[in-house]
Amino acid sequence: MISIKSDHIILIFLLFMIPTFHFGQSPYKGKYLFNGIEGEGSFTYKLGENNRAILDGKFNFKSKRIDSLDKRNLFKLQIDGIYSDNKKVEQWIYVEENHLIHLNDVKDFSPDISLESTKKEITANYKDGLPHGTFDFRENIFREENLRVLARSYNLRFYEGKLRGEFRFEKLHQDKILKIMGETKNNGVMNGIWEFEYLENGNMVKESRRYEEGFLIGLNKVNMATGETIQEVIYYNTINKLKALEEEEEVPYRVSDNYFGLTFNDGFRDLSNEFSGQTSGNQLLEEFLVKVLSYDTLYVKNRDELIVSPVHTKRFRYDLSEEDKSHIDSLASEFNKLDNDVKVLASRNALAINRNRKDSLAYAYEFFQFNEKKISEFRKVVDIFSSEDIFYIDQSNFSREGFNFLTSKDVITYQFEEDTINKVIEYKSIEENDKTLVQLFRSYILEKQQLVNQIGGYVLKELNQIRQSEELETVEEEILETKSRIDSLFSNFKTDNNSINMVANSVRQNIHNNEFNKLNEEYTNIEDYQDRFTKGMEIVELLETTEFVLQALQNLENSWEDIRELYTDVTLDPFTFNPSFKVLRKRRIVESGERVFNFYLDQIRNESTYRNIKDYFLEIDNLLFRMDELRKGNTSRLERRLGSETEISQIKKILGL
Amino acid sequence: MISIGKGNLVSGMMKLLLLAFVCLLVNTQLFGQVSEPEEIRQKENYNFQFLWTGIYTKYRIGEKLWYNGEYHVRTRNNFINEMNQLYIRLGLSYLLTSNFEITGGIVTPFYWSDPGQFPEGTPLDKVVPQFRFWQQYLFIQPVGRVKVYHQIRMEQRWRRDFIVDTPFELTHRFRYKIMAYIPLNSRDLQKKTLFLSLYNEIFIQAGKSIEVNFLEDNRTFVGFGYILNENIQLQTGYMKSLQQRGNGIDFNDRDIIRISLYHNFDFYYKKKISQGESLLPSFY
Repeated sequence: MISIKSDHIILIFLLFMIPTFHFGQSPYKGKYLFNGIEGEGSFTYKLGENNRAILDGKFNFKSKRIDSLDKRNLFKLQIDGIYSDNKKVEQWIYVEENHLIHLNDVKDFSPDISLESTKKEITANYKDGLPHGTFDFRENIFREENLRVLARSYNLRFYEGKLRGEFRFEKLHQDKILKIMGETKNNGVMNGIWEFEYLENGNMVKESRRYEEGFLIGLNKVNMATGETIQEVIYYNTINKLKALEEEEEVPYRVSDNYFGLTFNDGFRDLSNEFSGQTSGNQLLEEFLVKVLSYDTLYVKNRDELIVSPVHTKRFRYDLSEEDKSHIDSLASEFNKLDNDVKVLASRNALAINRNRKDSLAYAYEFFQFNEKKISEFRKVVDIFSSEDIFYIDQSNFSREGFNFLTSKDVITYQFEEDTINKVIEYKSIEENDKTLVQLFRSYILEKQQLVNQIGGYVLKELNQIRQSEELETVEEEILETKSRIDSLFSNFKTDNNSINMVANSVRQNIHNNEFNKLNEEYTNIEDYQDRFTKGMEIVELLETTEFVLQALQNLENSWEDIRELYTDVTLDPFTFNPSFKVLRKRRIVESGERVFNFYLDQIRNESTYRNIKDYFLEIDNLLFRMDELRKGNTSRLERRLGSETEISQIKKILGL
Repeated sequence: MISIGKGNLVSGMMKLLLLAFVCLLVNTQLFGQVSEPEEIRQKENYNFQFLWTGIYTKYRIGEKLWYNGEYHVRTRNNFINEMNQLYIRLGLSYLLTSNFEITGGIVTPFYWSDPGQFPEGTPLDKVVPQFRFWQQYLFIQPVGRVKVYHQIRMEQRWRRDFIVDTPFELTHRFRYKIMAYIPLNSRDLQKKTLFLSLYNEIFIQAGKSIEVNFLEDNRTFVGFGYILNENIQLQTGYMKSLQQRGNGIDFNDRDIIRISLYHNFDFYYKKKISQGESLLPSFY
């Protein structure tokens, strides 16, 4: 199986390849995915770089699928078109059918079935992969044996991917006909009168808009049943700006060269009339564009989401001074710090757990919870300010409705010991009216940051004290519990090896008792938390060491006997003829090793500092390992060097320790 | 079903050994008695005291092959006053099975004459050498914790009398020794083991010159041994020797203190180790 990905198209070859069809072209017929829909493809292609298939020539695609969950549901799709170098060109016809069978009854083994179907046909024209030329959209519905038009377009034309000229769209919805009539100029810019008829709150509404080359200057909504005007928005501000530009006045804005989406915006906030008035009409327009361009992935994603519009509005672009830009940069970083500080403190588990210990902690907890929500609202505005959008926002429009998060007073309500307490925080920065919007935001953020620092600092200090006392308690409990447990281990420690028992007794006396008592006394006399904690951990480490020593001594009980056993061969004594006479091989190595072993035991026995004691066990491990190594092979030279050497350092050197 | 415990086994063995010694002693007496009716006079015993010191060596030179050497110095006359014998026994031992060893070699003893044993004025050589070939078969019989050894030794001896110019004559000697090692402070004969050493050995000689004194010697030894380490063992004890004298009637009654050192060394192991081989003992 060969799989080749091209944009959103995945080509799956399953059938055998037919020899070259035209020069450089190969035909393909078989399974194919078109926009994620499985079906049968029949087309020609040529191979590009890395064996990438480039569709070129006639293209046909058919798909027929019965819904895997609802077997009554049948989907059919047929597409005919032409590709040139992987780009759609000339005429394309999409026919999509959805059929749903209802089983109403069965009489005399004859089913009473009804069919509900929709059939969507798009006849489109393309140039260089972009819609170009006439587009005809028609969607029919077959229900109760009647075939009716569900939606259709009139005079729809594209020019290099943009809608151009007058067009009309109609859609049947709950026996109402929804409509759009409009006109675009070059590059899909909305212009002139646009009319929308749609359902809003159960009423048919007729909305009329007037655009001046992409700028919306008026909007009017009328209840079609009563003739009552529901909403009227005159974009005076926009009209004035356009007039000023037309009269070539010196103004701090100009018409942007960019093209924008369906919603005309000049810094209008979501709830403003200017913004919200466009919502219903734009939804209908978007729905229409999705239907028409549903098989063009450049515009529509997953056949239901418009990602690029072929219809545009225009906006003003506002100049920003260097000072403004500097303020905006600072605003973003200052806000991020505030946002981070508040989030960290609001999500601090220790604060949540300990908030009922003190009134001030209960207040601090609610303060951060309150501000976390508030700052998340603030974030939307800051994001706009710190993005390119700031250049397309009339700040007077933007701030006209005010900002609910920008309050001069915050009331923090919190619970402590069955009381509900309100605490008011006042922000002086709000009262200063001589600032620009960005400056106002900044001073508000800075004032809040000061408060966060102050309360946060207090919280951290309190939590730290709580943590410290809890940690010390934990350490002390651990010391007492461990000491008692190891005391018991020492009392019960007994091996068959007297040397080991003596070592254990000495370690108990020198370290487990004497050094422990010394450290314990030091711990008691320390007042600084960090030093006290460190000393506590030192005592814990001492106890861990003595426990380790006990375990290690237990393991050493027979270790030298085991080494002797390792070096012992069973052989025949030629005088007594005992065939299992035990002979210690490499006697000098064994005896020297034993001397070192006993030396280490002596060192452990005499050691009074727990930090050094583990090293001896490490040395013993090394010795035992080395003894194991030396058992094998020819060690005559080493044995000769050992001779009758008694100096421990020399023996260690010779043994390679 | 009757079961015999180890204690009973050892006790039974001891009884068996004692019986064997008694039988051999009785046999010795019977030899004397057999010839007694032919004699007119009563048998006389001549008592001597000796100190025998010896070094026994066994050096392993092959997987089952040992060099076997014995070096003895024997003194007499109240144990130590006169030199009696220097004695070197050399041989090669081969272990056929775990319980059977064969040995062969030569012996070169030197004997010091005792003028008191000859009529006055008899010209004597002070020191007389001897030469022997010897062969030995040793059977080892473990009986519980006790080791019993049956040793058969044959010697071809070229020897002569101390009287000046006496020629060398070939005689033969057959020896059977029954010996037991009984560990006292451990179950096995291991290092640091003290053991009781008992043996009785009968010497039969033959040859043209041997006419009446076929029973050359009967030696009974009681002593203690100690295994110092894998290389050295020590033994000391008292030995009673009854030798039939040349006339076939009289006996030498010898009280002998023996002090012996046993030394062994495993050259074969050393060689193998030096060649880097892992040597697991395997004798059979």
